Amino acid sequence: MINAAKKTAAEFRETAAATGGGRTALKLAHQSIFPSAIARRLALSESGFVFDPVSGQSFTVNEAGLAVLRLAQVEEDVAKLLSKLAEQFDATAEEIKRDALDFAERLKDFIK
Amino acid sequence: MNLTVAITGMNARADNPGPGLAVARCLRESDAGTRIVGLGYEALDPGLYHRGYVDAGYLLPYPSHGEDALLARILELHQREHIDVLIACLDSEMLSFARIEAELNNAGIRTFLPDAQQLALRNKDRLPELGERAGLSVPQTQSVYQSAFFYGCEAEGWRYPLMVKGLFYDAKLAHNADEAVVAFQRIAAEWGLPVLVQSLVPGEEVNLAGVGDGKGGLAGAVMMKKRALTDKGKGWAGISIYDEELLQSAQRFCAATRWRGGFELEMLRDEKGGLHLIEINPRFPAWIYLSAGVGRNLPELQVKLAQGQRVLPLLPAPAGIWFIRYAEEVIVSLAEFENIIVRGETREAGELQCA
Repeated sequence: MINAAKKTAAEFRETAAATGGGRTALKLAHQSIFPSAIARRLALSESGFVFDPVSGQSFTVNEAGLAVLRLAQVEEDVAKLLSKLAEQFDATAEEIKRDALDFAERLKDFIK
Repeated sequence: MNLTVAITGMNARADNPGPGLAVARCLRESDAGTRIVGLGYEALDPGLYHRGYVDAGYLLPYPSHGEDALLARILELHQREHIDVLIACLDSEMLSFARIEAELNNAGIRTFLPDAQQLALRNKDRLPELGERAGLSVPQTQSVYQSAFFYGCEAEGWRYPLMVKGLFYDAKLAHNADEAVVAFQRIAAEWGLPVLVQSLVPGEEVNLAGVGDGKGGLAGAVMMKKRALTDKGKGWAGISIYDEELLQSAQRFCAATRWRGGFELEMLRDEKGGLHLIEINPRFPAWIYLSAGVGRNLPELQVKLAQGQRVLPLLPAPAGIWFIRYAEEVIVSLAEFENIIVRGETREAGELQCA
Protein backbone atom coordinates (compact mmCIF):
# COMPACT_ATOMS: atom_id res chain seq x y z
CA MET A 1 0.00 0.00 0.00
CA ILE A 2 2.72 2.46 0.95
CA ASN A 3 4.25 2.34 -2.49
CA ALA A 4 0.99 2.03 -4.33
CA ALA A 5 -0.55 4.72 -6.53
CA LYS A 6 -2.43 7.46 -4.73
CA LYS A 7 -5.95 6.54 -3.61
CA THR A 8 -8.94 8.82 -3.63
CA ALA A 9 -10.45 10.41 -0.53
CA ALA A 10 -13.52 8.20 -0.94
CA GLU A 11 -11.35 5.10 -1.03
CA PHE A 12 -9.56 6.28 2.06
CA ARG A 13 -12.83 6.90 3.86
CA GLU A 14 -13.91 3.29 3.35
CA THR A 15 -12.06 2.00 6.32
CA ALA A 16 -12.73 -0.83 8.72
CA ALA A 17 -15.31 -3.52 8.41
CA ALA A 18 -15.12 -5.92 11.26
CA THR A 19 -16.47 -8.65 13.49
CA GLY A 20 -16.16 -8.89 17.25
CA GLY A 21 -16.17 -6.31 20.04
CA GLY A 22 -14.03 -4.70 22.70
CA ARG A 23 -12.63 -1.33 23.65
CA THR A 24 -9.54 0.71 22.98
CA ALA A 25 -7.06 3.00 24.60
CA LEU A 26 -7.00 5.40 21.68
CA LYS A 27 -6.59 8.99 22.83
CA LEU A 28 -8.38 11.10 20.30
CA ALA A 29 -8.46 14.08 22.61
CA HIS A 30 -4.69 14.20 22.29
CA GLN A 31 -4.87 13.44 18.60
CA SER A 32 -2.68 10.38 18.79
CA ILE A 33 -3.90 7.78 16.34
CA PHE A 34 -2.85 4.69 18.27
CA PRO A 35 -0.65 4.25 21.32
CA SER A 36 2.42 2.71 19.74
CA ALA A 37 2.40 -0.28 22.09
CA ILE A 38 -1.08 -1.22 20.93
CA ALA A 39 -0.36 -0.64 17.26
CA ARG A 40 2.90 -2.60 17.34
CA ARG A 41 1.34 -5.65 18.92
CA LEU A 42 -1.21 -6.11 16.13
CA ALA A 43 -0.61 -8.85 13.60
CA LEU A 44 -1.41 -7.47 10.15
CA SER A 45 -1.96 -9.61 7.09
CA GLU A 46 -1.79 -8.56 3.44
CA SER A 47 -5.43 -9.61 3.19
CA GLY A 48 -6.46 -6.94 5.70
CA PHE A 49 -7.02 -9.47 8.47
CA VAL A 50 -5.94 -8.00 11.82
CA PHE A 51 -5.36 -9.98 15.03
CA ASP A 52 -4.80 -8.53 18.50
CA PRO A 53 -2.82 -11.16 20.48
CA VAL A 54 -3.69 -9.57 23.82
CA SER A 55 -7.48 -9.38 23.51
CA GLY A 56 -7.89 -12.26 21.05
CA GLN A 57 -10.00 -10.04 18.82
CA SER A 58 -9.73 -10.24 15.05
CA PHE A 59 -11.27 -8.09 12.36
CA THR A 60 -10.70 -6.98 8.80
CA VAL A 61 -9.77 -3.60 7.35
CA ASN A 62 -9.51 -2.48 3.75
CA GLU A 63 -6.36 -1.36 1.99
CA ALA A 64 -6.54 2.16 3.41
CA GLY A 65 -7.11 0.92 6.95
CA LEU A 66 -4.15 -1.39 6.56
CA ALA A 67 -2.00 1.55 5.45
CA VAL A 68 -2.98 3.52 8.55
CA LEU A 69 -2.22 0.61 10.89
CA ARG A 70 1.12 -0.12 9.26
CA LEU A 71 2.18 3.48 9.58
CA ALA A 72 0.97 3.61 13.18
CA GLN A 73 3.24 0.66 14.01
CA VAL A 74 6.35 2.60 13.05
CA GLU A 75 5.37 6.25 13.37
CA GLU A 76 4.38 7.66 16.73
CA ASP A 77 4.27 11.28 15.59
CA VAL A 78 0.74 11.99 14.40
CA ALA A 79 1.70 14.86 12.13
CA LYS A 80 4.30 12.73 10.36
CA LEU A 81 1.85 9.84 10.10
CA LEU A 82 -0.78 12.07 8.49
CA SER A 83 1.83 13.54 6.19
CA LYS A 84 2.86 10.08 5.01
CA LEU A 85 -0.78 9.18 4.43
CA ALA A 86 -1.19 12.34 2.34
CA GLU A 87 1.65 11.11 0.13
CA GLN A 88 -0.31 7.95 -0.59
CA PHE A 89 -3.85 9.25 -0.97
CA ASP A 90 -5.31 11.87 -3.26
CA ALA A 91 -7.09 13.86 -0.56
CA THR A 92 -6.62 17.10 1.34
CA ALA A 93 -4.72 17.12 4.61
CA GLU A 94 -7.94 17.98 6.40
CA GLU A 95 -9.75 15.02 4.84
CA ILE A 96 -6.89 12.70 5.71
CA LYS A 97 -6.85 13.87 9.30
CA ARG A 98 -10.63 13.64 9.72
CA ASP A 99 -10.87 10.18 8.21
CA ALA A 100 -7.84 8.81 10.05
CA LEU A 101 -9.31 9.93 13.36
CA ASP A 102 -12.70 8.52 12.37
CA PHE A 103 -11.00 5.22 11.60
CA ALA A 104 -9.30 5.28 14.98
CA GLU A 105 -12.65 5.97 16.64
CA ARG A 106 -14.25 3.02 14.88
CA LEU A 107 -11.44 0.76 15.99
CA LYS A 108 -12.39 1.36 19.60
CA ASP A 109 -14.78 -1.54 19.34
CA PHE A 110 -12.09 -3.95 18.25
CA ILE A 111 -8.88 -3.14 20.09
CA LYS A 112 -8.32 -3.05 23.81
CA MET B 1 8.76 -47.90 30.61
CA ASN B 2 5.25 -46.88 29.65
CA LEU B 3 3.26 -45.03 32.27
CA THR B 4 -0.25 -45.66 33.45
CA VAL B 5 -2.11 -42.45 34.22
CA ALA B 6 -5.56 -42.45 35.84
CA ILE B 7 -7.73 -39.44 35.04
CA THR B 8 -11.07 -38.46 36.58
CA GLY B 9 -13.79 -36.25 35.10
CA MET B 10 -14.85 -38.47 32.20
CA ASN B 11 -18.25 -36.77 31.98
CA ALA B 12 -18.61 -34.87 28.73
CA ARG B 13 -22.10 -33.45 28.22
CA ALA B 14 -21.91 -31.46 25.04
CA ASP B 15 -22.76 -28.11 26.63
CA ASN B 16 -20.64 -28.54 29.75
CA PRO B 17 -17.94 -31.21 29.47
CA GLY B 18 -15.64 -32.28 32.26
CA PRO B 19 -11.91 -31.83 31.65
CA GLY B 20 -10.96 -35.50 31.89
CA LEU B 21 -11.33 -36.47 28.26
CA ALA B 22 -9.34 -33.40 27.15
CA VAL B 23 -6.59 -34.24 29.64
CA ALA B 24 -6.54 -37.81 28.31
CA ARG B 25 -6.27 -36.49 24.76
CA CYS B 26 -3.31 -34.31 25.75
CA LEU B 27 -1.51 -37.27 27.29
CA ARG B 28 -2.31 -39.52 24.35
CA GLU B 29 -0.61 -36.99 22.07
CA SER B 30 2.26 -36.57 24.50
CA ASP B 31 3.13 -40.27 24.44
CA ALA B 32 1.04 -42.79 22.55
CA GLY B 33 2.41 -45.52 24.80
CA THR B 34 0.89 -44.10 27.97
CA ARG B 35 -1.91 -46.30 29.30
CA ILE B 36 -4.82 -44.11 30.26
CA VAL B 37 -7.39 -45.20 32.80
CA GLY B 38 -10.58 -43.17 32.86
CA LEU B 39 -12.39 -42.74 36.17
CA GLY B 40 -15.99 -41.53 36.28
CA TYR B 41 -19.07 -41.41 38.44
CA GLU B 42 -21.85 -42.16 35.97
CA ALA B 43 -22.45 -45.04 33.56
CA LEU B 44 -23.13 -42.47 30.82
CA ASP B 45 -19.78 -40.70 31.19
CA PRO B 46 -18.61 -41.09 27.57
CA GLY B 47 -14.90 -40.87 28.37
CA LEU B 48 -15.12 -44.27 30.05
CA TYR B 49 -15.75 -45.84 26.66
CA HIS B 50 -13.69 -43.62 24.34
CA ARG B 51 -11.03 -46.04 23.17
CA GLY B 52 -9.26 -43.33 21.16
CA TYR B 53 -8.08 -41.69 24.37
CA VAL B 54 -8.93 -44.04 27.23
CA ASP B 55 -7.78 -47.66 27.51
CA ALA B 56 -10.07 -48.72 30.34
CA GLY B 57 -12.88 -47.08 32.27
CA TYR B 58 -13.96 -47.52 35.87
CA LEU B 59 -16.59 -46.04 38.15
CA LEU B 60 -15.70 -44.40 41.45
CA PRO B 61 -17.94 -44.05 44.50
CA TYR B 62 -19.55 -40.62 44.76
CA PRO B 63 -17.63 -38.12 46.90
CA SER B 64 -20.54 -38.25 49.35
CA HIS B 65 -19.57 -41.86 50.18
CA GLY B 66 -16.46 -40.54 51.88
CA GLU B 67 -12.73 -40.70 51.46
CA ASP B 68 -12.33 -44.22 52.82
CA ALA B 69 -14.55 -45.59 50.06
CA LEU B 70 -12.68 -43.54 47.45
CA LEU B 71 -9.28 -44.71 48.71
CA ALA B 72 -10.40 -48.34 48.83
CA ARG B 73 -11.64 -48.17 45.25
CA ILE B 74 -8.50 -46.48 43.94
CA LEU B 75 -6.27 -49.03 45.69
CA GLU B 76 -8.39 -51.85 44.28
CA LEU B 77 -7.95 -50.43 40.78
CA HIS B 78 -4.24 -49.91 41.44
CA GLN B 79 -3.77 -53.64 42.03
CA ARG B 80 -5.15 -54.28 38.59
CA GLU B 81 -3.85 -51.28 36.63
CA HIS B 82 -0.62 -50.34 38.44
CA ILE B 83 -1.38 -46.63 38.32
CA ASP B 84 1.72 -44.45 38.22
CA VAL B 85 0.08 -41.01 38.24
CA LEU B 86 -3.44 -39.82 39.03
CA ILE B 87 -4.87 -36.53 37.77
CA ALA B 88 -8.05 -35.33 39.47
CA CYS B 89 -10.18 -33.10 37.26
CA LEU B 90 -13.34 -32.17 39.14
CA ASP B 91 -13.78 -29.42 41.74
CA SER B 92 -16.03 -31.53 43.95
CA GLU B 93 -13.48 -34.33 44.39
CA MET B 94 -10.30 -32.28 44.82
CA LEU B 95 -10.50 -32.08 48.61
CA SER B 96 -11.04 -35.84 48.93
CA PHE B 97 -8.01 -36.59 46.76
CA ALA B 98 -5.92 -34.06 48.67
CA ARG B 99 -6.81 -35.81 51.91
CA ILE B 100 -5.88 -39.29 50.66
CA GLU B 101 -2.77 -38.13 48.82
CA ALA B 102 -0.37 -39.57 51.41
CA GLU B 103 -1.97 -43.01 51.21
CA LEU B 104 -1.91 -42.89 47.43
CA ASN B 105 1.76 -41.95 47.50
CA ASN B 106 2.53 -44.78 49.90
CA ALA B 107 0.90 -47.14 47.43
CA GLY B 108 3.05 -45.76 44.61
CA ILE B 109 0.43 -43.55 42.99
CA ARG B 110 1.87 -40.11 42.35
CA THR B 111 -0.31 -37.04 42.30
CA PHE B 112 0.49 -33.37 42.00
CA LEU B 113 -2.37 -31.75 43.85
CA PRO B 114 -2.89 -28.65 45.94
CA ASP B 115 -3.27 -29.45 49.64
CA ALA B 116 -6.40 -28.81 51.69
CA GLN B 117 -5.21 -25.38 52.83
CA GLN B 118 -4.45 -24.25 49.31
CA LEU B 119 -7.82 -25.51 48.14
CA ALA B 120 -9.59 -23.62 50.91
CA LEU B 121 -7.78 -20.43 49.98
CA ARG B 122 -9.17 -20.46 46.45
CA ASN B 123 -12.74 -21.14 47.55
CA LYS B 124 -15.07 -18.61 46.02
CA ASP B 125 -16.08 -17.26 49.41
CA ARG B 126 -12.43 -16.52 50.21
CA LEU B 127 -11.48 -14.85 46.95
CA PRO B 128 -11.25 -11.35 48.51
CA GLU B 129 -8.75 -12.68 51.06
CA LEU B 130 -6.75 -14.40 48.35
CA GLY B 131 -6.86 -11.29 46.21
CA GLU B 132 -5.38 -9.24 49.02
CA ARG B 133 -2.67 -11.81 49.62
CA ALA B 134 -1.72 -12.06 45.94
CA GLY B 135 -2.21 -8.41 45.05
CA LEU B 136 -5.09 -9.14 42.69
CA SER B 137 -8.25 -7.10 42.34
CA VAL B 138 -11.39 -9.08 43.22
CA PRO B 139 -14.99 -7.88 42.74
CA GLN B 140 -16.95 -7.40 45.96
CA THR B 141 -17.96 -10.92 47.08
CA GLN B 142 -20.07 -12.09 50.01
CA SER B 143 -21.49 -15.37 51.29
CA VAL B 144 -25.27 -15.41 51.54
CA TYR B 145 -27.27 -17.87 53.64
CA GLN B 146 -30.78 -16.42 53.38
CA SER B 147 -32.68 -15.22 50.34
CA ALA B 148 -33.98 -12.18 52.27
CA PHE B 149 -30.52 -10.69 51.74
CA PHE B 150 -31.45 -9.78 48.18
CA TYR B 151 -34.31 -7.50 49.20
CA GLY B 152 -32.14 -5.45 51.53
CA CYS B 153 -28.74 -5.59 49.90
CA GLU B 154 -29.06 -2.30 48.05
CA ALA B 155 -29.13 -0.56 51.42
CA GLU B 156 -25.74 -2.19 52.08
CA GLY B 157 -24.26 -0.76 48.91
CA TRP B 158 -24.93 -3.59 46.44
CA ARG B 159 -26.24 -2.66 43.02
CA TYR B 160 -28.21 -4.74 40.53
CA PRO B 161 -27.40 -6.44 38.24
CA LEU B 162 -25.17 -8.74 40.29
CA MET B 163 -23.89 -12.31 40.07
CA VAL B 164 -25.32 -15.15 42.17
CA LYS B 165 -22.90 -18.09 42.33
CA GLY B 166 -22.72 -21.61 43.72
CA LEU B 167 -19.84 -22.59 45.95
CA PHE B 168 -18.63 -25.18 43.41
CA TYR B 169 -20.44 -24.49 40.14
CA ASP B 170 -23.00 -22.32 38.48
CA ALA B 171 -23.49 -18.60 38.23
CA LYS B 172 -26.54 -16.53 37.34
CA LEU B 173 -26.85 -12.87 36.49
CA ALA B 174 -29.68 -11.30 38.48
CA HIS B 175 -31.15 -7.96 37.41
CA ASN B 176 -33.34 -7.53 40.48
CA ALA B 177 -34.14 -9.06 43.86
CA ASP B 178 -36.78 -11.42 42.50
CA GLU B 179 -34.38 -12.88 39.94
CA ALA B 180 -31.67 -13.13 42.58
CA VAL B 181 -33.94 -15.07 44.95
CA VAL B 182 -34.87 -17.55 42.21
CA ALA B 183 -31.18 -18.03 41.41
CA PHE B 184 -30.32 -18.36 45.10
CA GLN B 185 -32.92 -21.06 45.69
CA ARG B 186 -31.99 -23.05 42.61
CA ILE B 187 -28.24 -22.89 43.30
CA ALA B 188 -28.68 -23.61 47.02
CA ALA B 189 -30.78 -26.68 46.19
CA GLU B 190 -28.14 -28.02 43.85
CA TRP B 191 -24.87 -27.00 45.48
CA GLY B 192 -25.79 -26.14 49.06
CA LEU B 193 -25.04 -23.10 51.18
CA PRO B 194 -23.57 -20.61 51.24
CA VAL B 195 -24.48 -19.08 47.94
CA LEU B 196 -22.21 -16.27 46.87
CA VAL B 197 -23.11 -12.84 45.64
CA GLN B 198 -20.57 -10.96 43.55
CA SER B 199 -20.74 -7.46 42.11
CA LEU B 200 -20.86 -7.38 38.33
CA VAL B 201 -17.82 -5.95 36.61
CA PRO B 202 -18.61 -5.11 32.98
CA GLY B 203 -15.79 -6.29 30.77
CA GLU B 204 -14.26 -9.05 28.73
CA GLU B 205 -13.41 -12.40 30.32
CA VAL B 206 -9.94 -13.81 29.78
CA ASN B 207 -8.76 -17.21 31.00
CA LEU B 208 -5.47 -18.81 31.89
CA ALA B 209 -4.75 -22.48 32.43
CA GLY B 210 -1.56 -23.12 34.35
CA VAL B 211 0.49 -25.52 36.42
CA GLY B 212 1.95 -24.38 39.71
CA ASP B 213 5.24 -26.04 40.65
CA GLY B 214 4.36 -26.23 44.35
CA LYS B 215 7.28 -23.99 45.26
CA GLY B 216 5.72 -20.67 44.35
CA GLY B 217 6.52 -20.76 40.65
CA LEU B 218 4.38 -21.01 37.54
CA ALA B 219 5.71 -23.98 35.56
CA GLY B 220 3.60 -23.36 32.48
CA ALA B 221 0.56 -21.44 31.27
CA VAL B 222 -1.72 -21.00 28.28
CA MET B 223 -3.98 -17.96 27.93
CA MET B 224 -7.27 -17.96 26.06
CA LYS B 225 -10.11 -15.64 25.11
CA LYS B 226 -13.50 -17.30 24.61
CA ARG B 227 -14.99 -16.38 21.26
CA ALA B 228 -18.23 -18.39 21.32
CA LEU B 229 -20.30 -19.53 24.29
CA THR B 230 -22.89 -22.20 25.00
CA ASP B 231 -26.20 -21.31 26.61
CA LYS B 232 -24.50 -22.02 29.94
CA GLY B 233 -21.75 -19.54 29.21
CA LYS B 234 -19.15 -22.24 28.64
CA GLY B 235 -16.53 -21.70 25.97
CA TRP B 236 -17.46 -23.33 22.67
CA ALA B 237 -14.67 -21.69 20.72
CA GLY B 238 -11.67 -19.68 21.81
CA ILE B 239 -8.32 -18.35 20.73
CA SER B 240 -4.94 -18.36 22.42
CA ILE B 241 -3.77 -14.91 23.50
CA TYR B 242 -0.72 -13.39 25.14
CA ASP B 243 -1.63 -10.98 27.92
CA GLU B 244 1.39 -10.08 30.05
CA GLU B 245 -0.74 -8.76 32.89
CA LEU B 246 -2.81 -11.94 33.01
CA LEU B 247 0.38 -13.99 33.08
CA GLN B 248 1.74 -11.88 35.94
CA SER B 249 -1.52 -12.41 37.82
CA ALA B 250 -1.03 -16.17 37.56
CA GLN B 251 2.56 -15.83 38.74
CA ARG B 252 1.40 -13.81 41.76
CA PHE B 253 -1.29 -16.41 42.50
CA CYS B 254 1.30 -19.21 42.46
CA ALA B 255 3.73 -17.21 44.55
CA ALA B 256 1.07 -16.37 47.15
CA THR B 257 -0.30 -19.91 47.46
CA ARG B 258 2.67 -22.07 46.39
CA TRP B 259 0.05 -23.75 44.21
CA ARG B 260 0.75 -27.35 43.27
CA GLY B 261 -0.78 -28.67 40.07
CA GLY B 262 -3.21 -27.51 37.45
CA PHE B 263 -5.54 -24.56 37.81
CA GLU B 264 -7.56 -22.07 35.81
CA LEU B 265 -7.77 -18.34 36.42
CA GLU B 266 -10.91 -16.61 35.22
CA MET B 267 -10.43 -12.86 35.07
CA LEU B 268 -12.30 -9.87 33.69
CA ARG B 269 -10.70 -6.96 31.92
CA ASP B 270 -12.90 -3.95 32.63
CA GLU B 271 -13.58 -1.05 30.30
CA LYS B 272 -10.70 0.94 31.76
CA GLY B 273 -8.24 -1.89 31.27
CA GLY B 274 -8.21 -3.12 34.87
CA LEU B 275 -7.96 -6.86 35.50
CA HIS B 276 -10.21 -8.51 38.13
CA LEU B 277 -10.13 -12.06 39.45
CA ILE B 278 -13.58 -13.64 39.34
CA GLU B 279 -12.80 -17.31 39.91
CA ILE B 280 -10.03 -19.87 40.35
CA ASN B 281 -10.69 -23.47 39.40
CA PRO B 282 -8.37 -25.90 41.22
CA ARG B 283 -7.90 -28.18 38.21
CA PHE B 284 -7.46 -28.06 34.45
CA PRO B 285 -10.34 -26.55 32.46
CA ALA B 286 -12.29 -28.46 29.80
CA TRP B 287 -10.49 -26.44 27.10
CA ILE B 288 -7.09 -27.80 28.19
CA TYR B 289 -6.55 -29.55 24.86
CA LEU B 290 -5.69 -26.10 23.52
CA SER B 291 -2.48 -26.39 25.56
CA ALA B 292 -1.41 -29.32 23.41
CA GLY B 293 -2.58 -27.41 20.35
CA VAL B 294 -0.21 -24.52 21.09
CA GLY B 295 2.68 -26.81 21.98
CA ARG B 296 2.52 -26.30 25.75
CA ASN B 297 1.05 -29.60 26.89
CA LEU B 298 0.15 -28.78 30.49
CA PRO B 299 -1.17 -32.23 31.52
CA GLU B 300 2.11 -33.70 30.29
CA LEU B 301 3.93 -31.13 32.41
CA GLN B 302 1.88 -32.10 35.46
CA VAL B 303 2.68 -35.79 34.96
CA LYS B 304 6.40 -34.94 34.84
CA LEU B 305 6.14 -32.89 38.02
CA ALA B 306 4.19 -35.68 39.72
CA GLN B 307 7.03 -38.06 38.90
CA GLY B 308 9.49 -35.68 40.51
CA GLN B 309 11.14 -34.71 37.25
CA ARG B 310 12.85 -31.33 37.09
CA VAL B 311 11.28 -29.18 34.42
CA LEU B 312 12.12 -25.78 33.07
CA PRO B 313 9.24 -23.26 33.02
CA LEU B 314 7.55 -23.42 29.63
CA LEU B 315 7.98 -20.47 27.31
CA PRO B 316 4.85 -18.41 26.56
CA ALA B 317 2.50 -20.03 24.08
CA PRO B 318 1.93 -18.46 20.67
CA ALA B 319 -1.19 -16.30 20.31
CA GLY B 320 -3.73 -16.77 17.55
CA ILE B 321 -4.46 -20.52 17.72
CA TRP B 322 -8.18 -21.35 17.80
CA PHE B 323 -10.09 -24.22 19.29
CA ILE B 324 -13.61 -24.98 18.15
CA ARG B 325 -15.40 -27.59 20.21
CA TYR B 326 -17.64 -30.22 18.71
CA ALA B 327 -19.70 -33.10 20.03
CA GLU B 328 -19.42 -36.69 18.87
CA GLU B 329 -21.06 -39.96 19.75
CA VAL B 330 -19.18 -42.84 21.33
CA ILE B 331 -20.48 -46.25 20.36
CA VAL B 332 -20.80 -48.57 23.35
CA SER B 333 -21.52 -52.28 23.23
CA LEU B 334 -24.20 -53.64 25.47
CA ALA B 335 -21.56 -55.83 27.12
CA GLU B 336 -19.45 -52.80 28.03
CA PHE B 337 -22.45 -50.98 29.40
CA GLU B 338 -23.46 -54.07 31.34
CA ASN B 339 -20.02 -54.25 32.88
CA ILE B 340 -20.12 -50.64 33.98
CA ILE B 341 -23.54 -51.13 35.56
CA VAL B 342 -22.73 -54.45 37.21
CA ARG B 343 -18.99 -54.27 37.92
CA GLY B 344 -18.13 -50.60 37.54
CA GLU B 345 -15.66 -51.27 34.76
CA THR B 346 -15.71 -51.34 30.98
CA ARG B 347 -13.83 -54.62 30.58
CA GLU B 348 -15.95 -56.81 28.35
CA ALA B 349 -17.36 -60.01 29.82
CA GLY B 350 -19.18 -62.74 27.97
CA GLU B 351 -21.53 -62.00 25.11
CA LEU B 352 -24.95 -60.78 26.16
CA GLN B 353 -27.58 -62.15 23.84
CA CYS B 354 -30.41 -59.94 22.71
CA ALA B 355 -33.62 -61.32 21.29
